[in-house]
Amino acid sequence: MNKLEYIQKSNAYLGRLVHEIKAATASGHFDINTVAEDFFVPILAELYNCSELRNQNQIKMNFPAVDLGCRSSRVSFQITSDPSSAKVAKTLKKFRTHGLDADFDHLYILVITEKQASYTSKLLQEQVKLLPIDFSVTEHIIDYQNLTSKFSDLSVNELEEIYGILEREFAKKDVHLEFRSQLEKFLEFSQSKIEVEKKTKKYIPSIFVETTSAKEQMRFFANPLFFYRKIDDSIERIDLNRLNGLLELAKVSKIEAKIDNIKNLSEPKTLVELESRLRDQRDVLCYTKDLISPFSWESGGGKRYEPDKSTEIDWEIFRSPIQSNTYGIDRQIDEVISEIDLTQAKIFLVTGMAGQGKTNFVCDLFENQFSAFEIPSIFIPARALNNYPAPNRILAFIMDNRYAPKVSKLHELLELLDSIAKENQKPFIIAIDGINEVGALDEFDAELKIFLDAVCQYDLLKVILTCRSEFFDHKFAEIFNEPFSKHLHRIQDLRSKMSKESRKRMLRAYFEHFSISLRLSKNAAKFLENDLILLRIFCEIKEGAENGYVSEIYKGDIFESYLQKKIRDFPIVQQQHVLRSLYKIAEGMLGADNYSQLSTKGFEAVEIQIIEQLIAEDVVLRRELPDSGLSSVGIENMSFTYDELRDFIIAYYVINELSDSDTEKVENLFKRLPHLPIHGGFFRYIYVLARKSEHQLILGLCENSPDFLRHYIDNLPLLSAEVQNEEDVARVLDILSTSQDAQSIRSVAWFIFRRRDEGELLNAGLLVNHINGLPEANCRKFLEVIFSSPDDFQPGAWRRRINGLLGSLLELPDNEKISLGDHALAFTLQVVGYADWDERENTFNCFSNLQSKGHAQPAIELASRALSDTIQLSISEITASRAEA
Amino acid sequence: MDNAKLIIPMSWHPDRDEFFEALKIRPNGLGSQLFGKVFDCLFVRSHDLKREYERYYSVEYPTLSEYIDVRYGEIISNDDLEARHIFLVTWLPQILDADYDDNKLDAVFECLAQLEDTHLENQT
Repeated sequence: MNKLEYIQKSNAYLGRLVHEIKAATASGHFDINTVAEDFFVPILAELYNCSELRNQNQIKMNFPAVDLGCRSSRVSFQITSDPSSAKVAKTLKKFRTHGLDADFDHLYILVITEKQASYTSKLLQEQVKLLPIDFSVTEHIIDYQNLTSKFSDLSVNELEEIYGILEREFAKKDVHLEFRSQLEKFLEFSQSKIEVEKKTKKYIPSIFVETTSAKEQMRFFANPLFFYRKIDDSIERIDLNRLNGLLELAKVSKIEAKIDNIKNLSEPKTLVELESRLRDQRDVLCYTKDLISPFSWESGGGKRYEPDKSTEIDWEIFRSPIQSNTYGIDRQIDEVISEIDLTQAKIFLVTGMAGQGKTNFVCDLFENQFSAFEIPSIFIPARALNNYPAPNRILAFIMDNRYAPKVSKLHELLELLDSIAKENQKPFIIAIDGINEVGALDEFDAELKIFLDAVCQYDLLKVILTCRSEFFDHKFAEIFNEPFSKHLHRIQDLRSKMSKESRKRMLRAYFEHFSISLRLSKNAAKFLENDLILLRIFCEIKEGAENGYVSEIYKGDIFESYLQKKIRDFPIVQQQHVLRSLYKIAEGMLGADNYSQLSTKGFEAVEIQIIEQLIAEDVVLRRELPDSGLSSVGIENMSFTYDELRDFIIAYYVINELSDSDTEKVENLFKRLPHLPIHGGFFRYIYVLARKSEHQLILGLCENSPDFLRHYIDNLPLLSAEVQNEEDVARVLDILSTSQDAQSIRSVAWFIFRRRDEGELLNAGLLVNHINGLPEANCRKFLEVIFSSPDDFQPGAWRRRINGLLGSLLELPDNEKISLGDHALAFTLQVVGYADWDERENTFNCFSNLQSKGHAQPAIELASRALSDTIQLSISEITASRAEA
Repeated sequence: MDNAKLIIPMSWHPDRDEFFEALKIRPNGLGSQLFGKVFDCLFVRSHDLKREYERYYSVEYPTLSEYIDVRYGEIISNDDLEARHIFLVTWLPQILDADYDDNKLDAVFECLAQLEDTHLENQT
């Protein structure tokens, strides 16, 4: 370009700038002056030969009279969009009164819109006269036209420099404008990552049960300008009147807190206003807390109130209500302070064990909270960061979006996102879910620190992180030592105690999601409600199942079906490798005697690929902390997600693989089994698997184990109907008749009592028949054993338990009583004679009533075969009262 | 999840003086101190579910009943959902705690029912 072209293009840029400033000022964006200050620094430095021109407000906040100054050339500028004489006069006065002539010999007023045609006001002329430096309204009040007229005095090189500055600044602005028009699409793309989580079943919205406390905390964190009103509501509820009334009665001076000053405040329009408002409220709350704490039960280590001699009695009379009242107010204040702190936090960290629902929590936030409030946000599944090169994986992930802004540095991006947040007056949120899933954790730890440090430098950017607790504590805990840790809020227990109703709702939601319409027995439902991973596994294998009844949950069968399903999900050529890989893990764990983790060292590429796929699903396998050191580079550690599934797979490997290839190893394994941490679980599954396959070698090893009977009793619930045989019946009856161990008798008795399915050999009928065969003394003794507990210290506790059992029966509606089945009802008739009078009479009446309606007769007939006199008496009571009726 | 101890739907705005009057309690007496706590627990420190839904949660949850179900695990009948206020009480003073033999829960409920009837009559 030649000189003329440079001048024309630079003039055009400055003209455009003035137009945009006018438009911005008209829209009420008065902060445009602040933006313009920085914009003009390099241009004015060039045009006015002041190479050290600096923004004075960056040196000292609200530097008086001048915005830009160069100490070496002693030139200063005030940048303003207000061209009035009054504004110029005010600036001159400030310059004089602050003695700025000591630093500067020249003062220019740069009007960034257009200056007035003349400046003749008396006020201004007076200030010009008073100014200790030379000032001419024609020479020192300048606008963009004065700047452009100076262009012609510059050399081509200098003009090129100016043009370059203008071009770069406007290019940046244009990119921002373009990005803003694309913002919606950019954010939509980010949201589409949630859909990936749905497809991979990491997030299943329909089965998500809200973690209400964490979600509520997030509202203050992510949307303070909406939810600050809840803080106002809480402050409104803090009432010191009653406390002051009590203090007056106790002859103690009233508390003069300023709490009323932070009630009914005007609405903040911006997040900046809100921040200062909340800061004031927090100060008053802390002040109030200090004032009341001497009167609380918990003075927090501070000084406790001590009455003087003359008021000692009054204090003692009212001490308790005062302390109770103060404690309540203190807790209210603490809650409000923590809500205020949440609004100011910049990092929201969620840690927890695997399977607690961290991904579900974050995805639900995006789908139902952030989208509802239009909070600008980006979702990053951390495992996806593995596809990008370190050390800028987070930036690279965000920029890998067709609609991303054209920026190359992290700060350029953050600055842009911050400006979007300012426009919306809502924080811009970046969520990184599952940071433990990023490979090369040490490297990522450093990258994450740099990223968080950068984010915390911006007013309105916030980050959500989720991580498995053990990974966080080992790899990322250093974050707490970083300066930005003061902005961090952590939730450690995401799924704190889930209510019974929530568990029931979750079971229903799972069944609905997986289109399962099976009926579950109470036992089976309870089993699944209490084990989230098992519930997930059960639903995956039963997907679409209908019209069936599940009386019991047999874990071994469930695990086998699940593994078959998982293996079939792989391409046919890989399916055999999947099982072999799992066998190899089992073999590796047995060989190393380490069942908590195993490294991938020694695994072939195809096996590692399979392992990675299983880890990605996080149900069979999960990633563990890698070892450190050069030799461990590229080697992952893994473990089984679910200990019982691990024990099942190891047992499966031993019975199907090891026992064929190396009998000696199997025998040795059984010898050292009592000392292994997998002892209980392994024994359980190997015995069941051996029963199913009639594997004589393994069965022999199991049954010859010294503690076989204990294992057998513990694992009775795992013997499904197909496996049960007459030998089991004989073994169970033998335990009930001859065992000297009360706990064994109790376990077996209550196990068969719960088995109502007569299709199974082991069912409640065995218990009823056993009791029928006992003469009075033995019957009483037997019932005393099964209704007692080792912790009983009061005599007669066993009778109270019988009362409890009958009480729960009596509470049921008739149809549910009948649905318990003949054996369960017969059992209640066998025990009712040993209950207390109330329960006994009510149960007799209940059975008479049932009998009168044509029910319960088979149960009565079953119990009437008993040898015990007490049982016979109960039966005759019922039949007699029925006859009377 | 906050566990609900009581849910009180009401068609009128609770008034401390009216509450005391219905319980035949003199203002500023010992009874008012005792039952002032009851009033605070039922109507001041409780959650007014209808108000909090309208002010804060209607953006996120499509209906009041869904909000109460998801947030508090409680199913509320349609009649109760129409009440002007639905107070959810998560803490009870000893005087209202059913675990204590000498609690006054029934008396307080009776009084609230009377007030509710009176207000409904006045409205019709």
